[in-house]
Amino acid sequence: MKLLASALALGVLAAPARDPVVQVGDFAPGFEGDWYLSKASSLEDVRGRVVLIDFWRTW
Amino acid sequence: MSNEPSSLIEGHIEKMGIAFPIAKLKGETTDRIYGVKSFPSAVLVDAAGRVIWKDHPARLTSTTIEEALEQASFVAPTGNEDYEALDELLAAREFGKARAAIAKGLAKAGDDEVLKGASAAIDGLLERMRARAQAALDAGDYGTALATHLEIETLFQGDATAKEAKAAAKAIEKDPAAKEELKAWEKLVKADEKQIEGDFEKAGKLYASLAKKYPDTKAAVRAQAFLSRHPL
Repeated sequence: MKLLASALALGVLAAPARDPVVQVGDFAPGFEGDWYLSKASSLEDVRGRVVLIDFWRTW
Repeated sequence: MSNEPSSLIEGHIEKMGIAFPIAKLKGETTDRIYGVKSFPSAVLVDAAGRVIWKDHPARLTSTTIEEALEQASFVAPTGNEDYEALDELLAAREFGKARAAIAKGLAKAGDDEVLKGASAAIDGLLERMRARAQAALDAGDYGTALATHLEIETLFQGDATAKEAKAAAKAIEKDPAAKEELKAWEKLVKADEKQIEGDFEKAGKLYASLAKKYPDTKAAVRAQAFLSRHPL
């Protein structure tokens, strides 16, 4: 009985949430990191410019 | 943007002779937030900080970039080492001070083509920003018009232009026709800030509340656009 009660307690419906993936039209979220070759260190620093963010890996 | 070890990135920068800024991130959070599923992926952000394009970098066209640059509030530095002080002001977007420096320079050498070019570029930017503010005003988009005048004021500090922009901003703030739109706009800015922080839940709540309270505003249209991009 105790086990069943615990199992039921876990089956709680999650509240509906919005998909937090950035779409065209959204504001670009900030990000933290180490910046190389740059005076700027955040998207806020380059506000007013057009910014191309390229996601890459060395491979 | 990469999340690989520093040594790997630094080696890559040297090997490829990279000269543009690189941000080294931790983990996968930013990839997830930007919906990056494969590499390379690219995102184009406009002058207001909004994502206007998202795809494989090879698919980016010059037309897309040029259209975005039309809206930028930036003047490219001269790149001439004899004009280092001016370039610093341009990079910092201190156009009021830049204009003063240019005026001083032209008083000494009236035929300086570099200074004349920079002056024309700044004038061109101001004209584009003023046109945007006017277009917004004509469309009843008081929030955008106000924000544009305030931006002109900030960028042209120290120049007469700043005073004119401040007066134009005040006129909008006092206009009774703008009252509803400006109240909605204030809420919109707060919601936008949450989005920039990456808190889409809170942003969604704020957009929904403003769309409900001020349904006939331009701000509500922007709020609804977000809500349809990110439904519950």
